[in-house]
Amino acid sequence: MSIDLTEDQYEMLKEVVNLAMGQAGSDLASILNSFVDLSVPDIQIVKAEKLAEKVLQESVFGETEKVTLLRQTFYNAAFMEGEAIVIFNDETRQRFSEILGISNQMNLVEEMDFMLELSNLMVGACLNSISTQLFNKGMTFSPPELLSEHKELRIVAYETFKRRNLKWDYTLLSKITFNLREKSFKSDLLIFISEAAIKAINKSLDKLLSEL
Amino acid sequence: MKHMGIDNIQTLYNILNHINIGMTVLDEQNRIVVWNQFMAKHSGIDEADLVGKNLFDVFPYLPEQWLELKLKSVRLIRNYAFVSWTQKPYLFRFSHNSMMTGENIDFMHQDCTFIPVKNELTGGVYVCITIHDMTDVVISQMKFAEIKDINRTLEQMTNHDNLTSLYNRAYVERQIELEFEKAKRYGNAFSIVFCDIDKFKVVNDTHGHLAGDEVLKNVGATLQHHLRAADVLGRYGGEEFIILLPETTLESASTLSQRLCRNIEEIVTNFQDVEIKTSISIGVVSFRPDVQNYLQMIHEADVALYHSKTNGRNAVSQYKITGCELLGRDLQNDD
Amino acid sequence: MSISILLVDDSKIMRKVIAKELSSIFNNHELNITEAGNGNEALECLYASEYSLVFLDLTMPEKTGYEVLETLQAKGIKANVIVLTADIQPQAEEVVKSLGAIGYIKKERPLNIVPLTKLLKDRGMIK
Repeated sequence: MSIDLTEDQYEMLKEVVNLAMGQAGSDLASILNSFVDLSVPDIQIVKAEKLAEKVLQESVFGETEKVTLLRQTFYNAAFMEGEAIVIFNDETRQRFSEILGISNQMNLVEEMDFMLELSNLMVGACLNSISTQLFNKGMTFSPPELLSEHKELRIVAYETFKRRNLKWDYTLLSKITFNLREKSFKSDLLIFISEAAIKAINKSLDKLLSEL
Repeated sequence: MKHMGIDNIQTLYNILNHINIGMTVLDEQNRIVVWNQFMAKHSGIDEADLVGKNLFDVFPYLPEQWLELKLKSVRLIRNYAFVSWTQKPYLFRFSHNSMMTGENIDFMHQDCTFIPVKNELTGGVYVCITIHDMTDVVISQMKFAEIKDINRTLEQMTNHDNLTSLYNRAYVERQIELEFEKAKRYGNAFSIVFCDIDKFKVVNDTHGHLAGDEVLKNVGATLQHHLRAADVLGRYGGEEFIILLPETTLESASTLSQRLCRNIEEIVTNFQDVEIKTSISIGVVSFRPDVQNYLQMIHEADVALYHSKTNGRNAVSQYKITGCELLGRDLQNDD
Repeated sequence: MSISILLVDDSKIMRKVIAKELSSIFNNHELNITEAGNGNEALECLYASEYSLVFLDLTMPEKTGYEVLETLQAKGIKANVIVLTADIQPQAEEVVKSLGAIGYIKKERPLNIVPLTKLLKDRGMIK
């Protein structure tokens, strides 16, 4: 089975993800009342064996930085499915109150609630936009859940992307980093599109390309 | 909805009423449009008495400010929203019918999902709220957490796995890390062997978990029996074992691994008059200077193990940069 | 007279789409289009020659559109820059205009040419 995308398809997908990132960045900016620095999304097809290393390489965070990971799955009626992981570092977590401009420190429950809310917002905005652009359909989401917290990125990466845990050989990985300009807020959004769904995307990309 | 095959809206309504999930729909002014039977049963108020009324008027105990914000963001951003019992135990004060009432659980614990639904008439946004009863999950999680806590304390105190008495994961990982640092500095060879019992789930499913435990103990003891004193064997998790082989090249580690496969093949675990045979798959990796850290090395052993699993099991694979290499398992005994 | 245009976007496809729309908007004029794939390439072009119009993307590798605008402002180089971007956060328009851009247009799928046509009309570049 050919799972690779042509150069044109990559370019098109990059634009689709780019618009989606813009939407998510805008929603994030309104919620946090700050200016969000967007960077070019990174998109590639990754072999399951190499996923842990790829994530470590691409993440805005250092290998030994302590991070929190949240996870959400999604699917739509056009067989596009996958999961998204949002990463915050502990440093950003400590600054939540400051970012929101609240005087007293958040308690642990509020902090977790806020992280779940933020990741839901980023994942929802991004994937709804991608799904609408590619398939003209909305996405359905599972609730965000905590994958792990306060652990070194490298430990989480090797644990989460252990080869035998992955049920597929390839994934389409998109990585988007959100940075707040003035306040130190950093977050990675990783979107994993399943191997089976790459086919569905392939078709939609060709359709968009033919409309150019 | 013509493609649904259900042309009768009443049928759809009946289904919605009988599913064991709470569902209510609110209009733009938070007036109740739908209130299914689950909601009626647990709140004690019928749909007929609620439709058209404002949610916050009927349930004044709801956290209005907080919920209003949630609803607003669903309508504005048109995105799903979620409330998990882990964050907020419940939204509605519903009774629960769990037998275990002594567990400090006052109301039904709930997972709630808020779904934006387009109002086809006005173009506005309805919000559909679904409620899942999570009470039983909460109770079993509480018990599980207790057991896990006790186990963890015991393990931390002893460096050992309770079931097999082998070293535990944390201990072996620490030893591997030390060995890795040593190798980085002095360049001495060492290897990691990652083992996993084949089709262990089948053993558990056919003979029960107690039989599975016996197999784990037996495999662990057999592995230990065939290792040198300096080798470090530990239970990594579930049915996984990991071995640190100091001063051992990839070739020697592979030969040893092939022998271990045969050793495990030959043993039988007796459990209540049943004889259980089993096999293991193995991944082998050796230190290379290009490897970043010990975690990457364990990861590579896991990749090699996966290669053995997907190539017929009961086999050994070596991790190499160029790709995993499966070794025939009937290699001659050359020692 | 031909109109010289610089298209700055890291997406080849976007450059193609914009070029196509421009040729239909400026249907009576000859267009002389130069393309740049990132901020550095864009600056090289802008140092070397003058353009009637510059279309600038914001999120690009190496140098972003924001950085291009900052550099132009710092060096006092005047250019008619229209920002065309997926960065639709509320403050983006304000920020790029404060950095000297003459227009800010949101990327959409498909590209909506109404705001662009209006902008060019307002500046008297088309009728």
